[in-house]
Amino acid sequence: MGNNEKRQYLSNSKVKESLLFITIAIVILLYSLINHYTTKDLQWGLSPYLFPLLVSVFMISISISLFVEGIKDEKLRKKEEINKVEKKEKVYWKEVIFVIFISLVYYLAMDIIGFIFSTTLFLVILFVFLGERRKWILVLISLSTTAIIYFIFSVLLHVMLP
Amino acid sequence: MESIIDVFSYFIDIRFQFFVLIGATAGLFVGAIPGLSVTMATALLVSITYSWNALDAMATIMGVFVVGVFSGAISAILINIPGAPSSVVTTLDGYPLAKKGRSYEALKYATVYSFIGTTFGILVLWVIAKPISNVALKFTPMDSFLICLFGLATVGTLTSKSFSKGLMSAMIGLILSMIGIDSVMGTPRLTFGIQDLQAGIGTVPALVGLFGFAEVLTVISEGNLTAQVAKVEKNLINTRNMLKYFPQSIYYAAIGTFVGALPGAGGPVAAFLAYGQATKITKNPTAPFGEGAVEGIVASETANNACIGGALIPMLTLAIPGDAVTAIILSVFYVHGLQPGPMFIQTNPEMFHVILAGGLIGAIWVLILGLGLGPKISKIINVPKRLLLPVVTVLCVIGSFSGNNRMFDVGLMFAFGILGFFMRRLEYPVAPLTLALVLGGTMDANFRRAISLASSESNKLLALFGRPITIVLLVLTIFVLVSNLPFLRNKEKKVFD
Repeated sequence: MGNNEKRQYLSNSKVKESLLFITIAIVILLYSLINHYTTKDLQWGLSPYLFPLLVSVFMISISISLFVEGIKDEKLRKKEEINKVEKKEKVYWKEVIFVIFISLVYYLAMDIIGFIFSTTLFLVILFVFLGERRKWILVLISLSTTAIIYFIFSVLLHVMLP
Repeated sequence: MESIIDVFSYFIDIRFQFFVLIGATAGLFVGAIPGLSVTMATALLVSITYSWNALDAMATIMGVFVVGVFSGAISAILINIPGAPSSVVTTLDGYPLAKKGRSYEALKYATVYSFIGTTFGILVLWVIAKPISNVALKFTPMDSFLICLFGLATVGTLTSKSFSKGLMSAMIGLILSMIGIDSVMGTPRLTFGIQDLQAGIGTVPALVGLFGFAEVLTVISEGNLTAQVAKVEKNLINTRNMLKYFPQSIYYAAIGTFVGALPGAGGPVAAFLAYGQATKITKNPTAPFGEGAVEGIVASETANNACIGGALIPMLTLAIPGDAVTAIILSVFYVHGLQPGPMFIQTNPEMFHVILAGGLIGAIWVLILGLGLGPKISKIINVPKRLLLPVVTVLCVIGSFSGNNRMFDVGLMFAFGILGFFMRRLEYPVAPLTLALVLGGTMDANFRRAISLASSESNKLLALFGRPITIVLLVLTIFVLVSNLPFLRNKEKKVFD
């Protein structure tokens, strides 16, 4: 196998994922063995590390299977690539990253400025980000949603809010 | 007889009816609005109903489950987007029929046959749950371990196009289930010194993240925030014509219940198989299949709703959930201190009856809400996602927090949401992970018990695998895995293709 070919196989997502999983499985395997043998008088039948050991062995076998699937896919793709152009759907990564980021800020802000204020702010920011421009809708919906949620969960259902 | 009286007594219990109605109404909207799933609603409900008594909680959840599975058909018919995965097949004929201006008719068929499917499934559950429990009572720890493994193997291989990806998802779930203090020895496992992880990964925050927040991120990543709704014009349909497909529908319902009982297969597969059968047994469809054949809607909707009863069979008798929603319902049982499994029907007959009554009453609400409100909610389906998604995110936060009142769980929910999003993007099914997360503890405990018991025997292998039930389960598990090996099913067209 030439260097180029190797690189091509390694670029396959299944191959990459299988390498990640096999690493995780080996770490868990070692974790189980080391912890089991360093605990005094521990029989395998009772050991908390028996099940992780079993799962890691399963995981190694499945990783190998995933690796083989990846190599096969790559071979098949090579055969067909000349007359096939893959259509890739557009993924709005920037938007996703922003939502994750703003959710993280919301999570941290809840502790500092409280649930009600942070939720109203979070709703307004996300509404605007996702394309809502009418000011009265922004104010009305974010305030009313927070109020309704507070009423239903805290007052009616006695569910504790963050 | 006693059981029949008990189940039907709930039909006149106003409080019970009220809670089923709350669930049913929530299910109607959640199921119909694409982007909100029944699984998400059930996961959120687990946290909300945490402090309720088990009876009210179960009534509400059954209402959501039954009506939510049905109402996926509303958006499938009106906007060609299935509100729930199990309605994917309904879009094939439902939307073409709606485009011909017959959406009211399509909705009516979907409603009536969802009712028939649900009722059939619940009745089958009623009849065969006890005999299955009796067999399950003879299970040894090894059998319990193997049945869980069998469940994971079927879920893993059926829910993904890739053999390895489905199973890998299950393995990730098992690893996550092991985090926390070990129940037998009391030592912390895989917690990496993080104090908050000692209590383990809470099922509720994990599920809310995997099905709620992940869905929000997925919809945003697709950038598809608007949809076109078909107009609903009322046209009268003769009841005799309507019920013309009753005999066939029983066949589809039987397929649905059977598929539902197989762990992991669930609604989409059942609907697909029933649709396949419909194309074979229907000689003169009202329109060619795929162009608005009523028979297609009947097959899909009967089968996916019949799955509900089917999926509850292994959950109640073996504590193995048949799909993601039943996995969540299983966690409701644990939250309320109930222990599903072979002894469940004997020790908790009243809860079993509550589930049956909830399912049957839910089916009636399918009829009432489906015929009454179904055609009218087309405007709500069209609620802009830019307003819906932020609200869902806030609900996820509340849902994950309310179980244990820990901010750590909210963080966990976000983490699982991100994990679920990437799993979907990379085509790893989430259902096996969910099931493994719920079943991991049982598998671990039973496996160790089996090994401990066998360690005192002279022939260890015989002690572990010598019994007929064990051999059958072992062979079944190996069969599921081997028959799905990539090189054996290379040329076989997968049901998901």
